Amino acid sequence: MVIQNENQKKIFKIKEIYSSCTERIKKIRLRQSDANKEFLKKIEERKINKIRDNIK
Amino acid sequence: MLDLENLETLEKDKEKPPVSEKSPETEMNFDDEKTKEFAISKSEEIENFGEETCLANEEEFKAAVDDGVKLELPQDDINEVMAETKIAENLNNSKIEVENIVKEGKDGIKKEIEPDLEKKETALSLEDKEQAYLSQKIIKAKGLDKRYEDERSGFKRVQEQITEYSLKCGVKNESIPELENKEYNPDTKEIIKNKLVANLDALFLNKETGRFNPEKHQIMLAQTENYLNLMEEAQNEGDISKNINADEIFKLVEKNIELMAFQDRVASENTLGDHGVRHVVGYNIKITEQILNSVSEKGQEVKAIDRIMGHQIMLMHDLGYVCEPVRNEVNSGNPTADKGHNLLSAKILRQMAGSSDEALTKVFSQEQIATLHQGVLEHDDSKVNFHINDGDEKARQENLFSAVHLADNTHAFEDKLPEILYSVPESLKAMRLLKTAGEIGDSDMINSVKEKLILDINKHEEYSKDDKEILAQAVNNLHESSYKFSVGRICGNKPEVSIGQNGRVSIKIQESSIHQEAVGLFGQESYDQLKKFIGDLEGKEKGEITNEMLNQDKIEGKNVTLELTIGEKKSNEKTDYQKRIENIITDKDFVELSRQDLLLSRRQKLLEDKLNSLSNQSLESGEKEAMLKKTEENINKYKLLRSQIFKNYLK
Repeated sequence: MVIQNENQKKIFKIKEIYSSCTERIKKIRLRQSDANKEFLKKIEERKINKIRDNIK
Repeated sequence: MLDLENLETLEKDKEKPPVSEKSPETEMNFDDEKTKEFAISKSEEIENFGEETCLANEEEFKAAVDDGVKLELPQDDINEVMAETKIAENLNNSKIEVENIVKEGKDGIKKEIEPDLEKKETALSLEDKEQAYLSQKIIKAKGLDKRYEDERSGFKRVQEQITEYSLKCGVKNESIPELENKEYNPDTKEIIKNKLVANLDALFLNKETGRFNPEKHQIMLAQTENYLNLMEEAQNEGDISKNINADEIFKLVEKNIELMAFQDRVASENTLGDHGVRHVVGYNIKITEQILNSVSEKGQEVKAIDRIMGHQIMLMHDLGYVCEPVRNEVNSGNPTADKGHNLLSAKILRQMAGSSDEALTKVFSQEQIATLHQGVLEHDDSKVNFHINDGDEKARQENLFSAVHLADNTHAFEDKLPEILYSVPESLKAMRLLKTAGEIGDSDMINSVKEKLILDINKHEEYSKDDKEILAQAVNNLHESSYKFSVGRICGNKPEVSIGQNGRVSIKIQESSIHQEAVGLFGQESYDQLKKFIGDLEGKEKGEITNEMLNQDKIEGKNVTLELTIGEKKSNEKTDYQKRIENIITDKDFVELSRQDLLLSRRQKLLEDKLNSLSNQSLESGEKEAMLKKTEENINKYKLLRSQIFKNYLK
C-alpha cells in the first residue's frame, strides 16, 4: 500500500512536469507563430510599397 | 505538423484539471513497473512535442519566405525584412528554449522514478576515471592496486576512524536546534561559527584529551570563517541555493574540520613531508587563493564557488595518507606506500558523494562533485594552463585545476617539513647524530639518540599527552638517512606566485638565510631541493637541472618563469622556524664536530667502495683475502674514531 501511494505521488509529479513543459512549449509555439505572421505582414507591406512606388 | 488547430485542442486540454488524486492513473494501483512505463511514455511525449514544435516553427517560417518569393519580392528585400524582424534569430532562440524545456522535463521525470540514478551514473564515471588513473600509475606505484581495493581505504572505515578520534578529543556531534528548518544566511552563519569554534578548541587547544597547537588552531579558525563567508558569497552569485538548509552547511564544515584534524594527527606520526594543517590549509589553500586573486586581478572571472571548490579539493586531496594500508606501511618504515595516494583520496570522495545522507552531496551538485573528484585525483599533476579574458566555463575550471596543481607542487620548503622536525628543534641535532650512528653501525648509539630525543619532547610543557605520543612515534620512524628527505627543505620558504596578463606563471623564490649552514651540517649538496622543485614544475628529473641554470636570474620554462634570489642575494630575515633551530646550527662545538665527522665519513665511504670493488675482483685467494682484511680493518678504525668523537661530545 505504501508503495502504491508512493507511485501515485510519482504519477502526480510526472503529470505536473508534463503539463508544465507542454504549457511552456505551447507558449513558445504561439510566440513564434506571431513572429512569423509579423514577418509575412512586413513582406506584404514592402511589396505594396514597391507597387505604389512603381505607380508613382 | 503541429499547427495552431492542434494547439487549440491542447489549449482546451489545459482547461482540464492537470492531475487530481482522482485521475484514472492515480486511481489505478500502479506498481513500480507501470509507474516507470508511464514515466517513459510521458518523457517521450515531451520530447516528441518539443521536436514537432520546432519543426512547425521552421516550416511556418519557410512558408512565409515562400509567400514573399511568390509575391515576386526581390531576395534582397526579403533579407532586409528578415534582419529587421530578427526572424531567423528568434527561430533559433525558440529552438534552444524548447530543447532546454525538453531536457529539464526529461531530467525531472527521470529523478522522480529513480532519484539515485543520477548519483549512480556519476559515481560510475568517477570510478572509471579512477581505474584509468590506476592503470597509468601502477608501474611506478607498486602495490597501489591492492591498496585501492582494500576495504580499509574506503570512506566507511576512514569515517569510523575520524569519528572515533573526534569523540576522543571531546567533540560533540550534536545538531543545533536553532538551525532547524532555517536557511543559511548571515544570522545562521554566526550560530554555526560559534558552535564550530568549540569543536576547534577541542581538537587543537586540548591538553587533556587532544592536541595542543595554537598556531594550527588559528589557521583552522581563519579557514572556517573564510569557507563560511565564501558560501554566503556563492549564494549571492547564484551558485549555491538561497534556500539551502543551514544545518547542511554546518554538517559539511563540521566534517571538514574533523577530517583535517585527523589528517594532521596521522601526518605527525611519521617523517614524510607534512600533509596536515600546515600543508593543506596554511599553504595549499592560501596559495590557491593567492593564484586565483592574481587571475581575477587580470580581469578573468573567478567565482566564489570556484574558491570553495579549491578549498574542498585541498581539504580532501591527501586523505589517502590516513588509509590504514598507507598509514601502517609508512609508519613501519616503508615511505613509498604513499605513492598514488591521490587515487585513495578520490575513492573516499566518490564513496562519500555516493551517500545521500552526506552534506557534501546536498551542498554540491553532481557536476561540482565531478570537478572536486578530478581536482583531488590529479592534484599533483604538472599541467598548468591559465586563461585570461576567457568567458567559457571550461576556462574557469581549468584555472581552478591549474591553481591546485601549482599550489601543491610549489609546497616544497620549510613549512613542508615533517612535524617532528618543524616543531621539535632538537630533532635536527638528533638526525645528524643518527646519520653517524647509522654509518658506523652503532645500534646502541641509535637507540640512545632516539631515547634522548623522546626525553626532550616529554620535557616540553606545551605539548599535550597526545602530541607527545605522536612525536615519540615519529622519533621511532627516524633513521640514518631521514635527513636526506628533510634537511634540504630548509633552503627557502613560501614562494611568491603570480599570473601574468598572458596567463604565464611567475614564481619568486628566495634562499633562506640559514640554508647553507643547515645543509652544511649534513654534507648535502647546496641546492638539491631547489633543483627538485624546478624539475617537478617543469616535468623534468632533478639531474637535468644544472648549476648553470640556477645561476641565471630567471629560468624560463614552458608556462612558468622562475626568479631565483640565491647566494649573496639570499634573505636576511629569519622565520620563526629558523629562529628555533638557530642555536643548533650556530653551536660552534657541534658545527666543528660535524665538519670533522664529515671528513671521516667521506674517507670511510671511499674505503667501503674499495671493499666492494675488491670483492668483485678475481685475484689470487690469499692476496684477495689479505687486501679485504686490511681494508675492513681500516674501515673499522674510522668507525671507532667517529664513535669516540661523538661519545666525547655527548658526555
